[in-house]
Amino acid sequence: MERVILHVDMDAYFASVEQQINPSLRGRPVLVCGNPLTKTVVASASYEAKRQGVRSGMSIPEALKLCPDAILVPGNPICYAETSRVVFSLLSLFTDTLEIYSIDEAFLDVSRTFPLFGGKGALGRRIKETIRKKTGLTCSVGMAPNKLLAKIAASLVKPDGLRIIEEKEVPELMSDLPVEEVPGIGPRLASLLSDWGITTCGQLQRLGENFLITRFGLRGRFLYQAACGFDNSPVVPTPPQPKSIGHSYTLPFNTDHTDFLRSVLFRLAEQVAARMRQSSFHGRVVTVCLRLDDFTTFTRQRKFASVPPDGRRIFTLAWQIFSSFTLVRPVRLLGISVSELSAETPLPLFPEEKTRENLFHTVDEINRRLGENTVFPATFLLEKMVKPPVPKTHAFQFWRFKHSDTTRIPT
Amino acid sequence: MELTVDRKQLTDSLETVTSVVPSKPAIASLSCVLVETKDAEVSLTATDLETTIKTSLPATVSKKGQILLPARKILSLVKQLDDKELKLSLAESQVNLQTSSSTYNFFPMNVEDFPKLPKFSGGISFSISSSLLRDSIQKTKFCIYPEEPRPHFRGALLDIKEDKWNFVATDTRRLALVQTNLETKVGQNVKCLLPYRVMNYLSSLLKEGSAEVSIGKNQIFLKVNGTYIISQLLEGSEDFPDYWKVIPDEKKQQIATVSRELFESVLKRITLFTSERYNKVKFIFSPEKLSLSVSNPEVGEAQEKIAIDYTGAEQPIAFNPDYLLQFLQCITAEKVIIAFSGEKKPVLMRPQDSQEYLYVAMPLKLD
Repeated sequence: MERVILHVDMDAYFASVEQQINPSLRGRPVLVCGNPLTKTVVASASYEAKRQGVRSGMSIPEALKLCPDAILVPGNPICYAETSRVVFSLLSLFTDTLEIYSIDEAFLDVSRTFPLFGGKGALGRRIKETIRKKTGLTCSVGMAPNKLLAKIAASLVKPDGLRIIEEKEVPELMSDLPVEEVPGIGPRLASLLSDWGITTCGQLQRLGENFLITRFGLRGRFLYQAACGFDNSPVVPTPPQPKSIGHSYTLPFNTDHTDFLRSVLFRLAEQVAARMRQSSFHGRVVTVCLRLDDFTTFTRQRKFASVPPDGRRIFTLAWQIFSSFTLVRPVRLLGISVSELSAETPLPLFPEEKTRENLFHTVDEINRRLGENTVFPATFLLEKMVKPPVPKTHAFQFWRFKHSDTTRIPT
Repeated sequence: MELTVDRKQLTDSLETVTSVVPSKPAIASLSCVLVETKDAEVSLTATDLETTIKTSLPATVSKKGQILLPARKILSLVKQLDDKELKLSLAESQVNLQTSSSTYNFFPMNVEDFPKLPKFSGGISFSISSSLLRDSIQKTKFCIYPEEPRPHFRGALLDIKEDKWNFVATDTRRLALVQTNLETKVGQNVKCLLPYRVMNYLSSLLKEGSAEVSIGKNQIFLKVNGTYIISQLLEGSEDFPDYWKVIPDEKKQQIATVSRELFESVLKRITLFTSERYNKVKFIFSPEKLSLSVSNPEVGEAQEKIAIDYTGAEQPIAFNPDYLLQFLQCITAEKVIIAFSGEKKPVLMRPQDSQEYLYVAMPLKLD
C-alpha cells in the first residue's frame, strides 16, 4: 500500500488567531509576545510583519527596528490551545491516525483514507477549506511518503500552500534542497556544514553515511537518511486526553540529602497540580520515579481514592511513596506523575476546602497573567537554601558515622 | 502446655483475630497469634501494634502455658482439617498439633518477642447496642478513604453529647451521618476518631446484644461477644470540620420523593454508560418527573425518566452516580427524600421514614 503522510502546519499561528479574534488587527503587522510585562521576544509574527524581516524568537526592540509600525499583542495561551483543539478535532475527521506534533502542527497518516476524499490533491484542498471555514485560519499542507518529507513539503509552500511530493520526485527534490530546510538541521549545524562547502542535501548525501557517522555518531545516520529524504518513523496517534500528568527533574548534583530531595519533590508536586488544574483533572494513581547516579531507575505507584489537584496533597502522597524506597546511592533524577485522570469531580463540601480551591484559582490566574512562578509556595525557596551536600569522601563518611544522629534530617 | 479444643470454634476464633495480622509485618512476631491457657479457656491474641484483638474459647487444658503460632498458616491448616477436636501441645522445642490421624509440628517462636499488650487505663465507659454501632459503621464507612493523608479524614467521628449519638464520616465531597438518641446518657461528652480498619473489624464482629465501649485519651477499648479490641484512636478529632454547618436545612430546600428500588435500578443501568473518565449523570428534576441522562464519548448515551413526588421548578443537577448508589445500597426504606436548592449546593438525602440517617453529597459541575 502506498504510504501517504500529511502534515498540517498553521500559518503564523498565534498572530493569526489574534487577527481572528480582533478584526482590527487583520492585514496589519502583529507581533505576539510572551507576556505583557516581560515582553522580550516575538513568539509569533503575522505574515505582514514577516515580510519586513521579523522572525519568531527575535527580541522585541530588534523586531520593532525592522517593523516600526508593528502592533504588540500579549499572548493568550488558553485561547490558542482552545483553537488548536478545534483544528485537531476537524483533522480527526480525515483519519484515525492523527499525531499532534505541536500546538499548531499535526501529522496525519492518510494512506488508507485519501482515496475516499477523491485523491491526494482533493483531500489537501478539503482540509485547508474545512479549517478556513470553521476557524478563519489558513494553513500549509504537505503530503509525501513519509513524515520528514511531508513536513518539508508544507514548509516549502508557506503560507497557505499545498504541496504533494511523490515518491519518484524525491531524489531530484532532495539533491537541490538547502540543508536548513531539513527539520532537525538547525542554524549551527547548517553553518558548520556550509564551512565545509555543503549547502544542499545532495552534497550532504555525497559525503556518505560512514563519514557522517564517524563525524556525528548516531546523529550522522539521521543526517544521511534525512539528506536522502528517507524516514520510516510512524505517525503515532495522540490520545485525545492525556493518560497522565507528570514532571521530572534531573538534579543539579547527585545527592541523597533528604531535605533537598524533599523540596524538589514538593516543587514537582506543585507543578503537576498546577497542570492538573489547568485541565481541571483529578487523578487516582500517584507514581514516583527515582533514578540513582548509576542510572538504575525505580518507579513505584500507589492508588488512592482521589488525588486532587492540590500540590501539598500530591506531595504528601508522593512523599509516602518516596519514603518506601531505601536509598542505597545518591539520586540523580526525581519524577512524579498522576494518572487515571478524570475530569468530573464533585465540588467541595466544606468552606475550608472551597477557600483552598479559590486560593489555587487566584494563584493560577496571577501566574498565568504575570508569568510562571510570580506567586509560589515559600517551600520552593528551600530548594535553593539547602546547601549542596558535601561529597561523600571517606572522611565525610567517617564523620557521618561518628555523628550519625546529627546527620539525620527530620522528615 | 497441652490442650484440646473444638476445631470449628478454633477456626472461628482464629479468623476473628487473624483479620488484624498485617500482611507485611514489621517484626516477625506480628505475623503470629499468641495462644494462652486460662482455666478451662484458651485465649488468642493478635496485633498490628495499632489494634489488638483478643478472643477466647473453651478448651480442655491439661497443662498451662503460652505459645506463639504463625497466624495465617495455622488458620489455613485448621480450616482444611476435618476432625472435630484438635490437640495442641508444646513439647521440648516443638509445637504439636494432633488430630486422630495426623501430626503437625511447628517450630515455635519466642513468646517474649510478642509485643506487650497495651494497658488500657481510665476513660469514659458506656454500653451500646451492637446493632446501632454496626449500622453506624456500615452506613458511613463508604465515605472514608483510608489512604487519605489527613488523619482526621481516615476514620469516622464518634460524637456523643449527653444522650445524642452522632457517627459521621466524610471525604470532603460527601458526608454520611447516623444520629440517634441513646436510651441512657453517657456521663461525659465524647469526640473521637475511629480508624477505618477498626470499623472493618467491628462490622464483622458486631451481631446481637450489646457492646461495652471505653474511650481513653487516645485509645478505644471494645468488648463484643467475648472478644476484646483495643485500638489507637486517630489523632485530630478537633480538626474534623463542623459537619452540622454543611448539612442543609431541609425546610429551606426543594424536596423530591422517589421510590428507592426504582431509583436504584435506574441508576444501576445508567451507570453502565459511565466510565472512569466520564462519570457524570445529569439529573433534571421537574414536576412529577425526574430525568437522568449520561453522555459518554467512550460508550454512548442513555436516558431514563422516572416518576417522583415533586412540585417545584425545574432543576438540573449533575452527580457521580456512585455517590448515590452507595447511599441507596445502605438503606431499606421504601422511599427516599432528596432535598436540594441549586446546581452547586449540597444535596441532602435520607430515607423517608427516618431522620436518623442523613447523607449529603456535592454535585458535579454542570457544563
